[in-house]
Amino acid sequence: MSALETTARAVAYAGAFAAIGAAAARALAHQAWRDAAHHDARVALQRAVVRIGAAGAWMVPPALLVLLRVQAAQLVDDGERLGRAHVELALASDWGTTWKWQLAAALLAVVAWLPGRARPLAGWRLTPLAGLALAATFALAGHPRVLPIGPMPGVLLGAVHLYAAALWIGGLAAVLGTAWRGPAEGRELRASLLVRRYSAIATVVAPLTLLTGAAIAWQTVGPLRTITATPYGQALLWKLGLVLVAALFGAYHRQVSVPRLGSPAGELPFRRTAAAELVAALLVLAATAALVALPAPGLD
Amino acid sequence: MFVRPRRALAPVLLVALVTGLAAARFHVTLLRAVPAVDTTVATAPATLSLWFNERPDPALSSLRLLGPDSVLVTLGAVARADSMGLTAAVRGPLAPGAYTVLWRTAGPDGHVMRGRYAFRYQP
Repeated sequence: MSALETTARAVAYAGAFAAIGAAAARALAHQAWRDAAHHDARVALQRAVVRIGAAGAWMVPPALLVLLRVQAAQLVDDGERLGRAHVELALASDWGTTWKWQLAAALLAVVAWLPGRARPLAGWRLTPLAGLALAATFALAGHPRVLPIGPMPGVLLGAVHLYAAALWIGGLAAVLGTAWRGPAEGRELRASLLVRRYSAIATVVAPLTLLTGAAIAWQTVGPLRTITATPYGQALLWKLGLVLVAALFGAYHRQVSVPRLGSPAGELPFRRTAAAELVAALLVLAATAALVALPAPGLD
Repeated sequence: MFVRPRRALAPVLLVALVTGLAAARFHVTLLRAVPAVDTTVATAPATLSLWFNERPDPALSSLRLLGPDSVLVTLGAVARADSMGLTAAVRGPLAPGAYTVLWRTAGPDGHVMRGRYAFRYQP
């Protein structure tokens, strides 16, 4: 995997996570700040959410174009130069078909997040649909298609995993970036209402991310004896250990930090534990990254 | 005090950076071939056929045959041999000597893999 491919994938995932997280933050605020007293804050939050969602949506199509170029470059044999024929070959393949679906979903997200006045031009209803389309097509184009359980269950598992992870991580980042928006008066109360809503959702999507991730890992690790007998399995054990650490942070966050919100003294501790939760999620994923270079015993 | 959207994107970018790296690579590997790997055949092969551990995508696949003087032998278009295999007709005449098959293919996930193997033609 080249640095260019890694970067393009990272940008595409970041865009999708931001767009999905932004839609989640807006939906949560729509419920948590329903009171007319929160109108100005809701408008301020929506403006910020539209900026986050639009920025995320616009990150995906250029990243996909780079990935198409990378794929075409991999088809260049000795003595050839990268040209249109290689791009056409890539587009004519199974990979190319799923790439086109990804691009369609990305363009849908761009349209869905075109900025209007404190709302997307096309309204809010299209934004979660675009997020679902991104998650589904990203799973379709990725490794879930080659899991032993078969292409369709694999893609479904991958899509649920990706969408849940985006709601968890993207949602947390979007909530952190918008919860303290609006007039100073009542800011702590509003942030508390929004974060509590997010926390309730995170209680579902974080375990769902971990469960679906474990199911995917189960498919790739193969027989149980390979867990300790192969570098892949050992790296997986490290990852599981870090998952436990992340789960502890999450539990502390929910039990201690969130209940203290609503007063000025509660904001900083919450930001710290939320940041710790983000860092822990990053470490879990970093451990997963170590699995990249290792052959997956369950798939050989 | 609040986090600006651009700053809020930073952790997402970081997490996504790792997510982009995270998926394990599932490699297409050659299981068997005709002519077989590192063998000597007495009859010039009319086709090259290769079988893999994953379903190969013909659109992303190529087969090339290098002759004794590293000259490319003309091959027909690459087609499926069956769900897990690729085949190509050998169009050019084969002189006795060592041959190298260069293959490139990808599985359903699009990861392009390359490999080579040798066989000898000795009538």
